[in-house]
Amino acid sequence: MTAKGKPAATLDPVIHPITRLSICGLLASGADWVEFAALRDAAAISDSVLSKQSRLLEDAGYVEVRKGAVGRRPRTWFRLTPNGREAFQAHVAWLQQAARVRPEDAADDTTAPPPSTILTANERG
Amino acid sequence: MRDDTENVAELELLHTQRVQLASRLKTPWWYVVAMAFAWAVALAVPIGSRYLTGAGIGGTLLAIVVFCLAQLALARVSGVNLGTRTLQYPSGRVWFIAMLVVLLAADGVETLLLDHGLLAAAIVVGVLATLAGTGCWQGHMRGIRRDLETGRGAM
Repeated sequence: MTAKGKPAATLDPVIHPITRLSICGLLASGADWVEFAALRDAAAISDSVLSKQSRLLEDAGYVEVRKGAVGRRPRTWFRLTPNGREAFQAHVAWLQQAARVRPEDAADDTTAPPPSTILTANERG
Repeated sequence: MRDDTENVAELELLHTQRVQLASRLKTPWWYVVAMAFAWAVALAVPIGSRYLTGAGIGGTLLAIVVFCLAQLALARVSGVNLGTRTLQYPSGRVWFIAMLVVLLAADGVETLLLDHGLLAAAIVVGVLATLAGTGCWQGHMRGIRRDLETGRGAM
């Protein structure tokens, strides 16, 4: 965290893949809990991709999962944990900062990830 | 070299996805009807309690139950649970204050009119306040949707 209480702009390798960034971004929009189908449709990913990626986020302590049922239908709800929210804000700050950097300046930036790690085909779901 | 256009694209994608998530919270007709009913019951309390014993607490409880059930049903249908802290959404806060003003003002005016024996006028005030309250609630929900799109409701 910075002195002003805002999270420092840092690249978070857990959140960085586009699918996980989408999941965190949707959960950080302000809703308390978001249901599996709503999250899947908004992120435009498949059930299996959401299951896999949400488990990774849960293991990292960024997402909380609540399972229930409506009648016979199982329902899964997701929520961002305070840790996850902080990490997401720091990552978005990093993205915004990186977007402001001109490409010729970025060439000297050794902390920048290679382009291949930003978006990969299978991480898009 | 870092490709900054990809970072911009990711942020734009995030916004588009949030717009899609917020659109799920568009209020269905039954939700508006339920909210209007809850408002009508709440605003009928001053009139009912004048003529019926226990109408005050009964009406208040009924309005709360209808409100909670409508919220629960909307969360199930939309897949987005707003929780109980809807005041955290800045765009919806103004509408929430407006709702409190409508509720308190209507309650006061209805009581005043009933004290003067003007039952019909009190009912008219109740109906108008129900319409105003339901409109404010719709505005509150619109504000929440806007905050979800921009992420202002977070924190």
